[in-house]
Amino acid sequence: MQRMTDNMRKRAGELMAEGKADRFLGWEKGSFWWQSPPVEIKEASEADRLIWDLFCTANLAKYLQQMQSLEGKTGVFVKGCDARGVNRLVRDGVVDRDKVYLVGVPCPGMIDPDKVRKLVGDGDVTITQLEDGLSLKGPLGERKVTLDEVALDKCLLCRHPEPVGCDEVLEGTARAPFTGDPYAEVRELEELDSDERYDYWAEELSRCIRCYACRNVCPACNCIKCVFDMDRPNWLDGATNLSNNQVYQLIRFMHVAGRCIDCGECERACPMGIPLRKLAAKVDKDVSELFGPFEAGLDPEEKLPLGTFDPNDPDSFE
Amino acid sequence: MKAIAKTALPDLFAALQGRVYVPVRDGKGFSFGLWEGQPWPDDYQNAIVPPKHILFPQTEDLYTFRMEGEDMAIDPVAVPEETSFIFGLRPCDCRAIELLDLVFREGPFVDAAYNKRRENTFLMVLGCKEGVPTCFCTSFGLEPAFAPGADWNMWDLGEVLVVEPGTDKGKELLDSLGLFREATDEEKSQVEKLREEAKGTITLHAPTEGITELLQANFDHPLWDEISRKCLECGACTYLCPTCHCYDMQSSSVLGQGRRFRCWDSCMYCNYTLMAGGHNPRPSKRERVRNRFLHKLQYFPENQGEFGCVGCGRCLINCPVCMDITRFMAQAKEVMAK
Repeated sequence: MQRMTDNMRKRAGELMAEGKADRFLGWEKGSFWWQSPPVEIKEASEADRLIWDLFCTANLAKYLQQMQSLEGKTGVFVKGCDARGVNRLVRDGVVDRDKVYLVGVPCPGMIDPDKVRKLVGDGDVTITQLEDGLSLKGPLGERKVTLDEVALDKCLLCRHPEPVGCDEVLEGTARAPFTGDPYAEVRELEELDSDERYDYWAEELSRCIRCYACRNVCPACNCIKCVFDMDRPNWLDGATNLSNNQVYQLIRFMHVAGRCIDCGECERACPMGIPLRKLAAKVDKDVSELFGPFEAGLDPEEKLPLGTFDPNDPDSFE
Repeated sequence: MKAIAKTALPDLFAALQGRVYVPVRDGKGFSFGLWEGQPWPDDYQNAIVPPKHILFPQTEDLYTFRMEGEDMAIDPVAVPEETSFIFGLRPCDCRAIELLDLVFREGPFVDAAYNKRRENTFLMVLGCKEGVPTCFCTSFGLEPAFAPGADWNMWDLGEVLVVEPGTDKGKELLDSLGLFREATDEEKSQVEKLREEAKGTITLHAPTEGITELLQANFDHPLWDEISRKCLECGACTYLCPTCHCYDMQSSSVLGQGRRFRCWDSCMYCNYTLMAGGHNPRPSKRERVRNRFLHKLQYFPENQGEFGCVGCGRCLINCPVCMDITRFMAQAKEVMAK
């Protein structure tokens, strides 16, 4: 981790000095052990703020939208999911690839702080990397675990921990890609009858407070003006109730169909613990079944299943 | 001071005449919901969503309307008269309700719906034995295990809950319930000890001294540009804040009938303070992020004479990109003072 941190600082400084990037996006240490929030480095001399640890979860791709209006290039450190997020934004035409310099960071997977808290408590927590795992120390004691025991669920299911489409990739080891069934949880839900499924989602979505954190972290949600922010016409009013919450969530997930990169940021950002990745996975599964296997964000020139006319479309339109 | 065995809490809840709100396991944590016979959750720390929604619902109908021939009939929506008991809220959230009182009850306008709910609500505060790392209530003058504005202050001593009424209505209620015994001297001294020890468990500090004057003098400081760039403009911080109270008024109608309602609004949203005609005095993220911090640290002190933050830490915990008001305050003191 320390070696990667050193590399990132060095590389960001060099690239900025060489004029290949005018600013850099990465992560810095936050106020608590479980926080490594995004940071924007404006001068090569600030590069020492950058860090790399097992809490660099936030997807940085989203920030490129606000960087577009700035002169010059923005350098970005990207994990597998960040890189796919950038490809997503480039493919959607909201980010100009020529204004971005991508430095890939092979991702070992990120930690779920709640899983650590359950084992060693909160407060004064230190996490040390061992040859074969992690040592967690906290108020409840010391534990030796593998990274997978405390990794975020979304990282355990990650199919592309190695960043794709970068200008350069830093030396490091990514976790092994998940090769199992990505839709196992969806299949479980599909087994329920329609009333049971409705009840399941009604209970989950009734908790939504419509803070829009899921939308605002999403690299596929990149509309200049979101339909839910429009006041004329006011497609969805501000009342928080099950019906409106369902309209919001279902329309959002249908809108990112075939464009969701499965970074899981929606679920991580949701303060209410709604299992949003399951909705995303269901839509993703349907797209793959209807239009052939597809994973979004692997190529900035990819043909989108729902955005491409193909005379050989598997749907016969009959 | 009185005491009750924690195993007798269901009897207490059943004896309370009205809606009894308790911490209910919900999603990844707790929220305040109606008691439906469940046992007291021993692992409850604090609710993800503060109990402000009980007094100030996220969506609240104001009146309904319908066409009757050429005329329109308007029917007000009555606020339920029922008594509510918020059992187990924390001192920070109790203080937050006192701050909402300053806005909705004690300002030049009295909000009828809030006022009626508030009159009919009992705040039964459970003191914190210890804070979590994101708690900073002591920075705003709070005591983690005691709420001066509570109808009841309660302390969890393991097997028993000790209760002390803080208001006349709280005392009347406690005296009317036969389920309690007098607290022993031993229990009383345990409460004193708990209160004292709790203070030392709050380790996060927010530098409040002189912050209002500093912010007043730095409305256009470049720090606002810098800190706002990280914000993703979601409303998690404001909707989970126990003192945020902005709302919008909207209507919806179908086939000649509809309703006028109010719903929470957030200064993080692009439509916040958007006026008819399209002008917005807070046109970008910079102004909106600034508004959130200034409302807590400058406007509230100016208008209500108190800080609008109680140090509950919910915004720190739930921000997807870790915006931290305590860090902002320290940063402001460092760079704005120059």
